[in-house]
Amino acid sequence: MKNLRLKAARAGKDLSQQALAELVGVSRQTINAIEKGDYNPTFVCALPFAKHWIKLWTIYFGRYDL
Amino acid sequence: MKRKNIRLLPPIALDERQRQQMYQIEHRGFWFAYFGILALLLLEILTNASGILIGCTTILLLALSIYTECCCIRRGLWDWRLKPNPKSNALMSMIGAVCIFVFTLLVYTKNGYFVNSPALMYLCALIAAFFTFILTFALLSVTAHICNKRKARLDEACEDDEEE
Repeated sequence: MKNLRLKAARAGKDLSQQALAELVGVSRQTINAIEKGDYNPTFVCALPFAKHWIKLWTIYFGRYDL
Repeated sequence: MKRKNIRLLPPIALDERQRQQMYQIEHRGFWFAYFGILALLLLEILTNASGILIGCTTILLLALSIYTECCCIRRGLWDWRLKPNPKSNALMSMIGAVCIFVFTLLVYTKNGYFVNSPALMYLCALIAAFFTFILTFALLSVTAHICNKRKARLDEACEDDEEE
């Protein structure tokens, strides 16, 4: 199940996957895997997203229709 | 007094997902090696053929290396700490060459070769080290090129997903 909320949040900040990857210090493939719902990062890995104003719940629950 | 933080190794260059992939590859490699060594041990007990075992162990080691290399390249990974660039390739080749130089000297000394001419012994060890450096560097350069290409292809696949 795709994490469309994260994709929308990223688009809202006008960031490409590569730009976001560089900001949070992960690879572009990791961002893509999170958006595709293939990878669920740990809290430590997800924290830098919050530093760049992407709410953590979009990472963990963005793929669910809450 | 402030302690100076001396770093002997470069920092880990992989993110969390890549580390998990690396652990998975190493985990499989570990069991592959475990059962391979067990099979060799049983072979030795059953056949008493210790001569063949060196060859079999070499084949096992090569198979394990090829397996690890192929799996890493397939996922666009190179190493925990090093990046696939000429600088790190040259460094690793240099370490290999130094090891071969020392090993060759040890073998020659143990077997009593070139006892009367130590200069020739050093020259032979130097030639062995030089060719080890050249071959290792060539092999690392080729695999690093393949790895970079694979990584670029995986990134391209991300672009396609992004456009969807």
